[in-house]
Amino acid sequence: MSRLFQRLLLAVGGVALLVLLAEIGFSLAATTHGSTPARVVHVQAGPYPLTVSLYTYPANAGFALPFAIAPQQPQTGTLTFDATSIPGKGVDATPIHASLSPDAQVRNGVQGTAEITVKGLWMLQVSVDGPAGQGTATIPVEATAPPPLPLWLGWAIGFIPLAGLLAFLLLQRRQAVHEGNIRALAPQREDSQPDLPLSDAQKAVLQE
Amino acid sequence: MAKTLTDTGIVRNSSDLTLSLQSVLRLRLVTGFVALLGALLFFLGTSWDIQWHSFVGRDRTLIPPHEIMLTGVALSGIAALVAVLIETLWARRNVAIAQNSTRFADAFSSPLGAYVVGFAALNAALAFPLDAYWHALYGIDVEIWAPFHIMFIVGMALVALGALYILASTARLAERVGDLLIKRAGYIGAIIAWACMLSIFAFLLFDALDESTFIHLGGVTMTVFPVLAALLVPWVLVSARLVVPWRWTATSIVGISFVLVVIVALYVPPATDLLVKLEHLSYRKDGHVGVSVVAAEWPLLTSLIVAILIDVVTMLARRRSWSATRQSVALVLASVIVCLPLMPIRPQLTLNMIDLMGIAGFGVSLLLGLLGVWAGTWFGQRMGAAILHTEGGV
Repeated sequence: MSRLFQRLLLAVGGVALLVLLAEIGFSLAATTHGSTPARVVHVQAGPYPLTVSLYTYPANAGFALPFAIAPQQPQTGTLTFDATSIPGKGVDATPIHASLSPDAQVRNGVQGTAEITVKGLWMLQVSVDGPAGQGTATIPVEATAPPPLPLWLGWAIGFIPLAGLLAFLLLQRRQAVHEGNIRALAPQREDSQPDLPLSDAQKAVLQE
Repeated sequence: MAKTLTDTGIVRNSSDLTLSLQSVLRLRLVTGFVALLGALLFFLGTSWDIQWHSFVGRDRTLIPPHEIMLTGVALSGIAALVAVLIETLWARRNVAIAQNSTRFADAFSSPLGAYVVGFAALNAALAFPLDAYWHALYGIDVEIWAPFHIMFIVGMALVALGALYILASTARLAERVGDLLIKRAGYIGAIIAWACMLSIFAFLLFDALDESTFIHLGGVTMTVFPVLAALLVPWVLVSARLVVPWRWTATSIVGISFVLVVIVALYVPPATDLLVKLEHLSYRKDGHVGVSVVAAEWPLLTSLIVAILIDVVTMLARRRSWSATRQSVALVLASVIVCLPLMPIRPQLTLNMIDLMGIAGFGVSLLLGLLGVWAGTWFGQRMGAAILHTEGGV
């Protein structure tokens, strides 16, 4: 492999590593709750008026959607919440249970992240259970995705490692031929000594 | 390259050299095994993920099967990066180490396999978010033949390839310096890595048996299964048989790949049930299935016969000093049977496929498979020869 190609490969690897780190950073940032919600929705879940804050809107398909739920009025007793993101009609996805944790700032409030995997219309279904009974509310959530990659380009990128493997094997073949390596196909002893064994003196030097 | 070990006149301190070579051998052995562990984790995680996608759906990004797969990617990538950096530093201080390493971009010295592992793991790591993006655009799917599934699977198969390069060259180098323990460990690791590579690549064969992927050309219906299986199996088994100087190498590789499939059969169904309960999910329309899809539909049962035949052919060729041409022809003939699909749950699959495609279509598919066997054997011989000449070779 030429030095120029090696340097090119190294540069591509470096750029790919930076892209990967940026992607990891973006994914982590996507799940964190910002200070200001992007959208606030007031809903009635049975006997409980709730405020649902969505920290990204529209949601980014393929990323978690951070949200928080808080009762609009102080409640006696404890409220327990459950939330699920449900794909709307025509969205090829499955319902996904959201992860929730208590909100330290708001009594009886929770915050969590809902997975929105595919672009399109979703429903964030919130269920609440408390002293006044149970209730459910549904919040429509629009999810968008970056501009679509053409199918042919997707396949071209997907086949990069296969092309790399083929190139690697062909380069290996050239190296084998270059080094007069046909011996590998010729008879070879089973459990043999090395083909060019070291002398005892050489071994002694190496293992001294 | 190994001649520099023995013929070098630049070695002034033999103790230092011994220490350095022992350190290099250990570093390479550990790197190879960690990369191999990463590839094995990927195989186990992917087998679970296929079950999850098939019967539950693609839900959270970081479900446990994905976490296992990504752990495998991270382990192998970090191992390669650390190994390249350490050996580059050592090579700058010790000419013998430098001469037994592969230079890259005028900056790094390391075993060739470590570069392969590093680039392959990076590729696989990039494939994961690209796949999430693809799903975000086009929805969930249960097909393995999707662009970034292929990128991910091939990437991690290449991690196993890199691991076997590292381990085989370490075994050869250990053999030359008379360290029998590392030699044995290296060859055993390399055999497991070959088995792992075979098993990961086998994921790409599943969809080839699906009727929706049949090719209709000029009134003839064909499948690419024979050509893909024929490229894969002889390539893997012939290359291993040429490198590892043990009698039943090819059979061991297929045996280990079967053990991996049995592990999948044992852990995937209960793990899926447990996760469905923990995540408060339910099975999709296909309902609960108590067997692992990957294990039940493993398409490479015939590879065991091929492996035994390859081992026998190679033994005969070596004993009777067959010419290279005769040996190649015998290896091709020994591998032909791999073109026939055979699954644990569908032993009559070949007959079903003849029924679906017709004799003509199946015949054309087999002819393509024969070409694949020839190409796979050719690549296997060349790769085996190249491995014999990497860092530990002569």
